[in-house]
Amino acid sequence: MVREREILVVAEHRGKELREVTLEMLRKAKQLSGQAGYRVSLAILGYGISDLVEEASWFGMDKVYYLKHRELEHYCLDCYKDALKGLIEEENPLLVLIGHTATGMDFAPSVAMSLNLPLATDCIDLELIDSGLKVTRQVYGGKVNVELQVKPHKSYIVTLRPTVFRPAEKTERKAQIVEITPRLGRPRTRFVRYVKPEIADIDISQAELIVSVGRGIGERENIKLVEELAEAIGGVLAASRPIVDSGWLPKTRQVGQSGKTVKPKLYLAIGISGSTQHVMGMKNSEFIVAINKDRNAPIFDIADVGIVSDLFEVVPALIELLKEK
Amino acid sequence: MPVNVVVLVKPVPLREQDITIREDGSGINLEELKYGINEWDNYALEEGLLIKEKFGGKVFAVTLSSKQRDPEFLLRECYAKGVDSAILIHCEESEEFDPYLTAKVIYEVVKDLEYDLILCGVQAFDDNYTLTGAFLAELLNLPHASIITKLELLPDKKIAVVRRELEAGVEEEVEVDLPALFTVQTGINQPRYASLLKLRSALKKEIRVLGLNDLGMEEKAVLDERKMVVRRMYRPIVKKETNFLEGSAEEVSRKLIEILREKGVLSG
Ligand SMILES: Cc1cc2nc3c(=O)[nH]c(=O)nc-3n(C[C@H](O)[C@H](O)[C@H](O)COP(=O)(O)OP(=O)(O)OC[C@H]3O[C@@H](n4cnc5c(N)ncnc54)[C@H](O)[C@@H]3O)c2cc1C
Repeated sequence: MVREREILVVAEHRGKELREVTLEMLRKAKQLSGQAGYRVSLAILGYGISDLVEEASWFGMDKVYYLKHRELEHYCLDCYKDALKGLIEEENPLLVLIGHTATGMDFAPSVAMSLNLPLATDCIDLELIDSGLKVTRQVYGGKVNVELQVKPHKSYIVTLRPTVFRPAEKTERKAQIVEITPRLGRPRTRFVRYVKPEIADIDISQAELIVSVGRGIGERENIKLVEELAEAIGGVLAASRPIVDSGWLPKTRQVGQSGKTVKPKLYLAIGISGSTQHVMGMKNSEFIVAINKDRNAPIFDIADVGIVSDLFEVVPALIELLKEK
Repeated sequence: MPVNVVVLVKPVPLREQDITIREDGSGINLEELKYGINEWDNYALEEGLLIKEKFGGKVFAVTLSSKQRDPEFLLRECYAKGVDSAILIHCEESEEFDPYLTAKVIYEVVKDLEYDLILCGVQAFDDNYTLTGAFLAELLNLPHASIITKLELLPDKKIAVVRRELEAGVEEEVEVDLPALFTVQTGINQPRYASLLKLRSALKKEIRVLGLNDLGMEEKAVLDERKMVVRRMYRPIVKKETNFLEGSAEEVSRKLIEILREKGVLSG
């Protein structure tokens, strides 16, 4: 008997909550299965999360594998690798989808390499074709798209970029839940604790007007200039990561995937290229203005208003006009 | 207790250059570009040097690169900053490698080095795979932790305690058995600059150059082992319509303020 092939989504969850990227992957998996009739299943690794597993089973997949083990209570590289290796070997899915998140990035390569399966990371699209798998990724800080051909293989692993696909919605149909006790070896990496972010002097996620500065500002000295602009506008100053890495502004001012998510009325990006990780934290702003000397900077792809120019000319002019009134 | 560290460094196109795509879409015009150390690798290198200063031991820098990326200059910079030994795996085909081949070739060299720790960047600015480190760790049968923002070594206990960056400012503290591989995030330290004097004396240092033949592989045949190949490259398609303001700095500023007032974003 030929079994229908399966698309296996690996759930991501933290603090007993399913993370959004899981639902985004499920939507994409269902879309891919719709054309070819593949089964869609969800693997949830954890311990003491039967409520979450129950809740997740309503999102339209055929099966949920609950890989339950005390060692899986927190994320652990070796435990994830052992558990998923076992499941993939047993079920032989055509495609495994994992989120391109801090966690997915950590274990996906180990699983792929240990099974000698091809892995395409940080994909913004994928398509199963006769000659294998076709994926789309972004390179050079988002300036170039590349289409990769993955050669035919018995299974493929793909990590999907979060926030690209719309999340799947709840359905009327509950999936079958299969509980599995995975076999795990002794883990060489062990979770100790979570470290919470420091408390901010100003909470930029609540700000209505944000002036945000990036590496284009060049030197610490020049921060004063954008500070002055923020003041003239009556907004708060935020930054991209390199400014924070250099210690020019505190971490609490960082916008992006590993910083704050903001949705102000105005986001004025100055000397920021618009990398994915930055854009994830500000793309839902109501009105986006970008000042950048590079016409090809990806920030212009999401800006409402663009000024292709040297910030050291435009910013002083803006300050002067704002003070004039 | 001395700690030996291997650091992987990659020369990538420097930022602030025009990245142009070949007319047939087969790739980037790499010839026209200037190259330097990948931003993330620079932090990995600094972390390796800090470990050497604290515990003693040696730092090896390893690069896999084609000629046009000027890897020798990058490795001279590594010497100038304090690296003890630099190894260049020279391979013209590496421009066509997929992450599997990259990791495999680096593995063939690193496996014979004496190390307690391997460090590399979270990702390379150019291809953005985030795979070389984790793949190499798996090939060497080492544990790894990615995106680390803090590294504390306890060599006598044979463990490291690291912080991994998750999302929205939350971090995860993890204990890892040594030897191990870590992929380093920007901001973990403040990388040093190489002085001119040291750069000059680094010119005399010897770079060990290896080719695929030295590793028992064949230049041409090796590409058949790829699991994925580039089909085409293109500029992202933009859906949003951006209103580009033109004119002098003063003109665009006036227009911008006007738009913001009309939108009610700015008062007055
Ligand atoms: C796991 C992970 C998490 C990350 N999290 C975040 C995050 O939360 N937030 C974040 O911001 N980044 C994050 N990053 C880093 C991200 O990948 C980019 O490196 C970073 O966003 C780039 O910042 P930037 O745009 O300021 O610098 P660059 O990309 O260097 O851009 C500088 C821009 O300034 C322009 N410029 C230069 N001079 C001038 C001038 N005189 N006038 C006008 N324009 C000028 C240039 O054209 C360029 O576009 C993360 C990376 C990783 C791997």
